[in-house]
Amino acid sequence: MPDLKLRPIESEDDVAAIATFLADPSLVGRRGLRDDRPVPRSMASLVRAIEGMAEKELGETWVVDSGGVVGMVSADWWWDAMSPWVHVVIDPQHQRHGHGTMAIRLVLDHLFLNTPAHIVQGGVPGWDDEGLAFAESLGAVEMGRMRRVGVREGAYFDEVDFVITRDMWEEEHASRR
Amino acid sequence: MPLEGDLVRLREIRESDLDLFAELRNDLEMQAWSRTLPPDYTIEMIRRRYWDRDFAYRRTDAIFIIETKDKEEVAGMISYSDLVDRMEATWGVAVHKRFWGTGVGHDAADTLLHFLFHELGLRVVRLWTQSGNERAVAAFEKLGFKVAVRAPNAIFKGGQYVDNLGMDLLREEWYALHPDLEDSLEDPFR
Repeated sequence: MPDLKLRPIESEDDVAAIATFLADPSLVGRRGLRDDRPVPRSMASLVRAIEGMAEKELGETWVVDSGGVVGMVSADWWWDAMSPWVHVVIDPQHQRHGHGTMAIRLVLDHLFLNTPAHIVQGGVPGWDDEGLAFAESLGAVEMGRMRRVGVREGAYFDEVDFVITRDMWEEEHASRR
Repeated sequence: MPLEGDLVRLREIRESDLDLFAELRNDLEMQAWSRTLPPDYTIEMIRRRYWDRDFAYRRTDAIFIIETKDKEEVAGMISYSDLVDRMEATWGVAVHKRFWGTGVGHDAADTLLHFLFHELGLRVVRLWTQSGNERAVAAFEKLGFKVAVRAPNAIFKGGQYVDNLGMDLLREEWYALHPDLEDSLEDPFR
């Protein structure tokens, strides 16, 4: 596993680094930004969106740092601290090195060790085969599909929602010790 | 002209309705919110919540009073939000317990769905509820909604864990339940 930590978004350089990789066309539709539209966006609009996420009241957004910015991860418990949603996005230049798995594990450890989280949820667009495979590799369980959440390449697509319960996390956490 | 159903009409909020809003919010059974709210809402809080809305031509939410047609009694409120133009919206309803089991809630919901599908041209309508409210789940299923997502033990309410349920209803599913209506909106994405 890579040497990796989650830390706050601390500087304009952090924001610029995140915005730069989020501008990658391969991340359109899965950037994890609030109310994000699935289209290419300008750097200025990405910067505004990231700054907005960094200041949210009922959630956290962190830099995924592995000797430099390699991704962004967010947790949101606006609805209920017992059932937060998480999202991780890794710079395409740094994918397939285990950063996403490590980042999610750190977030889950934080949520289950330091907050009242009872379950943790996440959503993946139905067309995102890599995202679906990633969720399954984490042991997340599909809890359903919201139908017709958007249109892409001439067809509706669903959002596949996943859950990791505290029991599941405890079992996985114990196996790591 | 307000939205007309068989039993109810859906109309704008008036000053005289604020009592009802406070009453709905301040009853744990009626507040229609999966996470329990403290039953201390004042009329002034309700007024600020609903009277601050600005006029706009492009709207992503709306809220209506449910009024019975026979006696013109205020029976509850119904709303939608998170509207994505010509695509989707999420709705919710709170009916006063005096009107539970009378068909008023079903008629109000179907009247709103008529507006969302037949007037606004949406492709899907969603709602969130919780598994502990079996009466509501059954009512939503009767309207045609299906459970799309079940988040296990996501909510603690009434002293127990319950599942958070996301339910949805596709445009063609709603029209299939209303064979008297013709859907003339083309769908290039199916």
